[in-house]
Amino acid sequence: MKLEIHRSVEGKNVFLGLIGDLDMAGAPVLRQSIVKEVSQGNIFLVLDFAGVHFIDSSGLGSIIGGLRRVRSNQGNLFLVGVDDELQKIFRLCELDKIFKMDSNRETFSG
Amino acid sequence: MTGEIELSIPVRVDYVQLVRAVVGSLASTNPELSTARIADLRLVISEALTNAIRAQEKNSISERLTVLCKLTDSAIEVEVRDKATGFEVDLIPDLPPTESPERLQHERGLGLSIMREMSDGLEIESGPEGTVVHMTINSQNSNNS
Repeated sequence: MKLEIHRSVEGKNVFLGLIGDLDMAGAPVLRQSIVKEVSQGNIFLVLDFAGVHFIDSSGLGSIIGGLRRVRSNQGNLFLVGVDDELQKIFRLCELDKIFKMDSNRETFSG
Repeated sequence: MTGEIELSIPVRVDYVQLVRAVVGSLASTNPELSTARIADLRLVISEALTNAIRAQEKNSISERLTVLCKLTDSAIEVEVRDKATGFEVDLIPDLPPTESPERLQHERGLGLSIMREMSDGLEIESGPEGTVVHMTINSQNSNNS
């Protein structure tokens, strides 16, 4: 299943709800979406991983690039809904030190 | 249950997910392999296939990739073969430290370390005729819990 992105806006944050696998096929979809948001001035992004149950290094690369893009515009990128299996991969790659993750979507609402 | 499959796939990104599903299904027939270990297997095969596809795309080589998968009572072995021009494993540069701002400049470079960490055995043979990546996933992980 190709990665789908469901967009919503809550306060200053743009939520991108990801559904599908974040791999070599899904990463460019997310990358393009983030580039589009930043180009429109939306620099506070929340990636909702509740619909993602697989991520590999290609997917990790796309969110590293996303973080770089928003930070270079004085914004930030947050992750919510990352399940235990995916968190294991973030820890393995030490990316839990870079990304702000929260299990609760409400943290970034409003 | 033991068994062996061989897949011959086009150099297309949308086949990576299919291979993950097929190999994961084969692995799930072995009750000794936990869900977590099958997840590790799906991850390492995704990394190996991604590298193979990138390598062949870079060299405009359209020959199919080969994935071999052998299930034993205590492990699953997978092998990914490409026909690209090879690479020197020892020449792959290290990534900057995680805390360094420079780290965000690198979107690639995690695949090999993921394969090393998640598999119980990783062998890479690479040369001008192509690369063979051989990985073993034991039912009990020797690298992490």
